[in-house]
Amino acid sequence: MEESFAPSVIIEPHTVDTSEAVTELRHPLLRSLKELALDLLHDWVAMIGLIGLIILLVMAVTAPHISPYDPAKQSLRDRFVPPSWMEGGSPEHFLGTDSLGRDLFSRLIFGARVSLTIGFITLAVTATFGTFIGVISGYYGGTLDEILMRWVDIQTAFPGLLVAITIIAMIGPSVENLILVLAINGWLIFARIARGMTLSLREQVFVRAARVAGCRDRRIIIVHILPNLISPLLTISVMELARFILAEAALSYLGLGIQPPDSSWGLILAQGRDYLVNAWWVVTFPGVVIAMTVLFINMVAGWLRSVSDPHQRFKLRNS
Amino acid sequence: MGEPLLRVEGLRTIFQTGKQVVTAVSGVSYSVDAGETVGIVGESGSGKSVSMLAVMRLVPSPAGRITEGKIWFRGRNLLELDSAEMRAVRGKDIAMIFQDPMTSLNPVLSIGRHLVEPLKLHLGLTPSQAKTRAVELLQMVGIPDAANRLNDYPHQFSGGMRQRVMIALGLSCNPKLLIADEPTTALDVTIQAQIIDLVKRLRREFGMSVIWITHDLGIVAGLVDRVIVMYASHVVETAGVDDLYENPRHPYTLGLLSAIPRLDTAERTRLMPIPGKPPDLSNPPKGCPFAPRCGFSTADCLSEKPTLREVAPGHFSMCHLELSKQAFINLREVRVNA
Repeated sequence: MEESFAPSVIIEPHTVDTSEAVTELRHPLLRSLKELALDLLHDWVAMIGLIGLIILLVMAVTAPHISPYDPAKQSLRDRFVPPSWMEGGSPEHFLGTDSLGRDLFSRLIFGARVSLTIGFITLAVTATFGTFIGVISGYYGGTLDEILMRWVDIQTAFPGLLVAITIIAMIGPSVENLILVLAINGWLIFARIARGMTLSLREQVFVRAARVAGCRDRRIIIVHILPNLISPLLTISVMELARFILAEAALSYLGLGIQPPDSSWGLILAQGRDYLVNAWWVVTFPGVVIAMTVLFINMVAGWLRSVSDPHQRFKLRNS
Repeated sequence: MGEPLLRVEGLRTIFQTGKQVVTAVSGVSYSVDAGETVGIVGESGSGKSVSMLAVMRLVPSPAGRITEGKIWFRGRNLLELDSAEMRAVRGKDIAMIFQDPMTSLNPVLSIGRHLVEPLKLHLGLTPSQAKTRAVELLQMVGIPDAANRLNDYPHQFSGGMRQRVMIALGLSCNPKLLIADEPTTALDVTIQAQIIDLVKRLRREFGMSVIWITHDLGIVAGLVDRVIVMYASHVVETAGVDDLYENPRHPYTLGLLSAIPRLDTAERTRLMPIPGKPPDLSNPPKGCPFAPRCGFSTADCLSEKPTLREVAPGHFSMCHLELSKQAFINLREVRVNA
């Protein structure tokens, strides 16, 4: 009898109507989405950033439908047409054309696909792998931690771009290989931060309390440690995302990234550099798009960080 | 009454750092009956918290280790359980609350989430049952508007409220034994009194045993049935609470009692601190651990370690000497006048 769960016996003097709480909790996902939207309305900087990012994403996804021209279609008669608002510009080419007469606007739209895909996939791979290694290393400590962290140290000692160039030179350039080399270099920071945070979280009283309550290691890591890592790791994620997009641009610029006739923002920039003096727009617009993407991402980052930390979020709402 | 709920026999726990071995608990034995409240009193480093962590099998490893002893809980030796069986005991049969309520709750999980987890884990409740029960638990520990506070986060609660939540969390699976490790030390005096009243009420409602660890003899007086006094990894005295206050038999206990400030005595008596400091547990003295600080120590005390013996029915003391209350009063006179 004493083993059975019988709350009504114990809590007789405190019977209350709890139905209200239960109905309110029924759709936790919907409720948190609604709260998220409300929080966003208070932060116009994040709002602009998010709208900008959404426009870019929609552009990338719907590229074949919205781009005015085939991005690879050449027209040597229309070389270096300036943007439409300039003297000599044509209304047919909004942002002008490049050295082979390809429409720059269409190329940028298609380039977004490649640049953003590489950015987000690399981020997903590095954040997952790095956090996993970092949490394991920090939580279990000891020899495992030593081995994993020396691995990180050794890898950090090599300049990232050099490693990337070497590997690409060996295995050849392609989207998959580009993601691979960026990921090889990118997970280190996630591992470092996740380990450091885990080391201090592991000693917190609430982790001990969880153990006292009969939680096993796996549960402690998933329920108690990971949620505490979300806020800081999200911030790094966003900054890393910007870095991956820039790194892809850099590698493509060096000729080790995306190969023609495909295009990415970095590649368009690279192909335009020889004509910088007489056709500034071929270099400028991809540069502006890259810069704006990074800016939008950073605008959203600050907000995401405060929202994913309950304490910060509370302060935000009540300020 | 037959078998006690918890019986610790000859428990020894050591911490090893490099070559240094510190004995945190040396050969401690005690028992707790069902429904009984026991206070464990001692200064910092006396082994009171470690002996409780040993009961939970949560002595920080690899440095700490239980080297000897048996811990009988409801007929099973906890030291022989495998880790899955031990996890089932933790939280369900034995719950523990900690000193600092400010850090005992995970800052990124809502209060509801904290409460619902163990209910699902140990009792296998469905999410909606668990939520209903969580609200009941919060009301039981006196949190107003409990239903609406489930979604709040720990930082939205004050220290006293958080300790109430911790207690609710501890009691969520109807444990047989609640271990409270200085749960009121970090709280205001008024909140302390509320928490103590709360525990008093709940232990009746739940019919559970409570072990209350503290360094404050004043708190223990109105709360517990029996007191265990620990000093330098040993149990030096154990007795019923009234007996202990009336007739302390161990010089250390007397020292503790004399060091409590009192407001109710007529004359202005000076507080009497215990001189010296506790022994180095990595190199414990051969004789009685308290002898170097004791006003009554003899040559025997320094060379031979006393054993815990029954000096009166149900009253045990680890001292060679048969000391009377008068002897203590005389010593006090000598010290105060010196």
